[in-house]
Amino acid sequence: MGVKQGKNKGEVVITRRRFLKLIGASAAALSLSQGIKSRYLVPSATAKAKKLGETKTFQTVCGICDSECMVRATVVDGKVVELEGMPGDLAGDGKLCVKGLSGYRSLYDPNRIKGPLMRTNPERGIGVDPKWKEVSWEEAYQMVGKKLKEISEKYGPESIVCLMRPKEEQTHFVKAIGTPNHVCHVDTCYLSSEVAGSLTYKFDPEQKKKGKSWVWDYKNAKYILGFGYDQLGKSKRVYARQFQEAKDKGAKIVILDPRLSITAAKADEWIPIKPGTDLAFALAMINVIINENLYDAQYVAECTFGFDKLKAHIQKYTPEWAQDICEIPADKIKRIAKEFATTRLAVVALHKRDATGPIYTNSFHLARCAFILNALVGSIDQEGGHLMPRKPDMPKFDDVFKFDYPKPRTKERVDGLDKWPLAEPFKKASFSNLAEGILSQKPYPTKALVVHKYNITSFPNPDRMIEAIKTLDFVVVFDVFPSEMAQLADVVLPGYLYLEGGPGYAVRDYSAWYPHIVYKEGIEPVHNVKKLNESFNEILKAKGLSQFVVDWKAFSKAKLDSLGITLDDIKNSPNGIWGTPESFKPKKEFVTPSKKIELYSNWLAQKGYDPLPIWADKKERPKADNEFYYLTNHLAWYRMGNPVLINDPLLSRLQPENYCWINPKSANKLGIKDGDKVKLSSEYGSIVLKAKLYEGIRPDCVMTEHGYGHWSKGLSVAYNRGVNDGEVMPNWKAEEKLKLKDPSCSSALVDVVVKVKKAE
Amino acid sequence: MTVASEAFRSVDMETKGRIFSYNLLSKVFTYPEAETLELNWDVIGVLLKELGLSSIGRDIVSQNNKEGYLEEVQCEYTRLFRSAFPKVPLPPYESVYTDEEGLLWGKSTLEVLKCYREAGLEFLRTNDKNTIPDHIAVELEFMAYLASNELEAVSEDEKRFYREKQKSFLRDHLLKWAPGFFEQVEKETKLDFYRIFARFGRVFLSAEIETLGDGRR
Repeated sequence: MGVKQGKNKGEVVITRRRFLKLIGASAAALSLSQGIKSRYLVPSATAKAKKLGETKTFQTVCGICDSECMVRATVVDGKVVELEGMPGDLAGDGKLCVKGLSGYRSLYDPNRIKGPLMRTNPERGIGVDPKWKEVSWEEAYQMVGKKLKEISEKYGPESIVCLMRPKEEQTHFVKAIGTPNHVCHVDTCYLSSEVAGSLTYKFDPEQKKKGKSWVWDYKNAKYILGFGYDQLGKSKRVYARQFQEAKDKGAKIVILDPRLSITAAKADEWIPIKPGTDLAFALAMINVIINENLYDAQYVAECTFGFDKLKAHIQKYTPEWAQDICEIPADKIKRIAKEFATTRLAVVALHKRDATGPIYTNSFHLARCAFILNALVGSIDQEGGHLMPRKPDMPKFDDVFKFDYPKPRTKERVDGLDKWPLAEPFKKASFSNLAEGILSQKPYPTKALVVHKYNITSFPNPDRMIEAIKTLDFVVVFDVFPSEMAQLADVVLPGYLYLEGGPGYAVRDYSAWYPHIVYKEGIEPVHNVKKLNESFNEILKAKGLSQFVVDWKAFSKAKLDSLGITLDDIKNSPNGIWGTPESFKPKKEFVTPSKKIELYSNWLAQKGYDPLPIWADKKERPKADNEFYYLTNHLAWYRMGNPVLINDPLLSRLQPENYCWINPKSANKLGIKDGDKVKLSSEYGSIVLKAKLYEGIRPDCVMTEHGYGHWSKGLSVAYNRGVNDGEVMPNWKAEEKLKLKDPSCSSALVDVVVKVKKAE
Repeated sequence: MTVASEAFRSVDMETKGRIFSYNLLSKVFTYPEAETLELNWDVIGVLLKELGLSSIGRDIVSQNNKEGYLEEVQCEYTRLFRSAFPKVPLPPYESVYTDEEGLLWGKSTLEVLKCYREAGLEFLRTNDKNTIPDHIAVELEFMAYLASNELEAVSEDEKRFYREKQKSFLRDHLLKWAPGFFEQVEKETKLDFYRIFARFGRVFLSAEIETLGDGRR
């Protein structure tokens, strides 16, 4: 910070004593009491007795990732000074990861948004000053309510796009507005594996059953196979610790990944697979397991549907066929298939944005193969495998409240998600289609955007999204930091950070076996911020939709009442309350048309997709020496673009910028040395960053890290560090993406070829 | 100037002047509402004249009634001190300038809170736009409080006590950052309103060193 001590410049010529007395003399004419008004400090009988150094602790739940590890926070004189894991916690095992430990400094970041802001400069764009005016909450709500009402009446509610996660508060708000456009980021995150898994054993088109599609029980596994899977590199404690436990107990770990990731480095076997050919490898594994009768015959008979159809279909995908595609010898594929099928219990592990995540146009088929492999060896809902979540049987929002929502005038969506009947029910897409939808004004024009905690830098090809936002009449953004999205807003409404507010409870559905209900508290908010559900209520009122105001406290209580417990009960159970206190019994019945695990998917057949996984190549492959596959990595100390971590002064020192990781052989060919600046270009954009020579990456790949390249100086730590990996990523016109026939509407996040050259 | 010569004879008069100045500065460095612009321009006018800012002062008085002026001042306050594109130039909190991490609620925030409590005062979060104890406006208000206690003290000992308190608070806190802060505001602001009061603050604090000493003597 640049304030220096004031200097005695001597340009003020009056003597200071005279100056003061002048004031005094003039002030004497006034009644002095008129001048004294205490705004901040009031006499208090107890103030003197309060000593500094008053230390307290409170219990809460980490709000950074969905592991929701329990936290013990230390507070000195009202300030959070330390976070640690809660001893005995079953999710985090009483420890926190680097993210969890760092979660408190952002509370006190001077650039945090401190109260509601209203734009006074009508022009919007990168580098254009919105000329903020801080206003009262009432003024902000009235403004948002009035503008949304005007736009809704003039262009129809569908002209309002809500960019937010599909949680209860958000879903209710969107329904009350009456727009079909509830847009979410998951097509860039894990939608391909979620849709694939759900269609295989738990698809509910009404989406009445919210929550995770599955949870893992790695700690009891003996063989873990992953396709680009890098759990240890992600520091999600609830799984990382289980993964370590399995390894300690002697589980064999096999990782296919074009680069030596942290997990690959700890694995028993690393197979540097050619990007996008994991699918051929997996299809051939299924072929071997079926043809050599290595599958769990009893489980397959009892729990699965369509085995014979799969058997007939898979014959063409032999290991010899696969070796030509993935360049891994057929014998090796056979060996791994055999090991996988004969070790009890073996599991294909999945995580966001691995090869089954939406990174290639064939990720969906690979994800289906992963679930089919798990079904063939009988590891679905078995100890050590992947489990159906057990949730406490609490009422859902629609069970408690009966709102008469307006019916949207059209089912057509701006992002075209309505054209993906098996992905649409999840309400979790589509970031990658949105910009072109807004810019084309088809099927109708978009006029307003309501954004909750999403940033522009998270979009593939973000420049197109900025272009799209510039065409809108009104943008309201809920955010805690002056993110790039907030800089483009008309109104910014700041919310709580997770260490503020409370008391309350969290229902965790990431924990293996049974999820449980845990107590959480927080400090008084540092600034003038409001909770999201309170803001939604006020905006709905101001929009003339008072009938949709929700008593969220009553809802929270109704959930506890249904279990016959109180908040005090939870508070008095330091490690949480089990949702379902019965012993684990594997499920034999699944939520599919056949009530079995569907190797052959009836839903896929019914909607005109391939009901069995097929080989389909990824969209693009490099053809010349300067062309490369593009990979990205998410670092253990960041969580996507979450500004709580991105703008943290200590974390930023771990790796101040992102690099272009490249194999020394390829670098030599292009005359690139370690530390040279290189330019990566795709048809969508280009980035310039420093080369990092690394033997542990295939010579046909380059990789960079996500979470860099911020242009908002409001993120004073993150500003101008590294580049945004999304600049070269593809975004889509819905009609182009439809041609891929991918039921999950995946973004194919890194299915691009980048040209690499030394930058000037 | 007869008023002034009369004033020279009275320490009380000087203290009244200091109280007035601290209160005025505390008021103008709080988020502006309509009443913020209702200042006693007769008194301020005299001061501005001494600072060679008479013409600006006249402009402000005339702008004061202009429609939209309050919004202009609010925008500028927001930009300088609260939330701005591309970043907040001058967060008005001591710990941002004096602590290693440059975050809010730092070591100095707690020290300031301790001073308030020792004086029998509690910091109230009643103003939504200022929720932190080492905000410039709060530190200034505290000085006004100490000075008015000095003024109203019945014994010499008590007077001395409050004067010592002012000296140490000035030395340990305000002088560590406020002069530089005012200097930066004067440079950074696009609005005469903040320019003259930042200049006022800077000159006033150097007068304070002369009046109270920099605390070392």
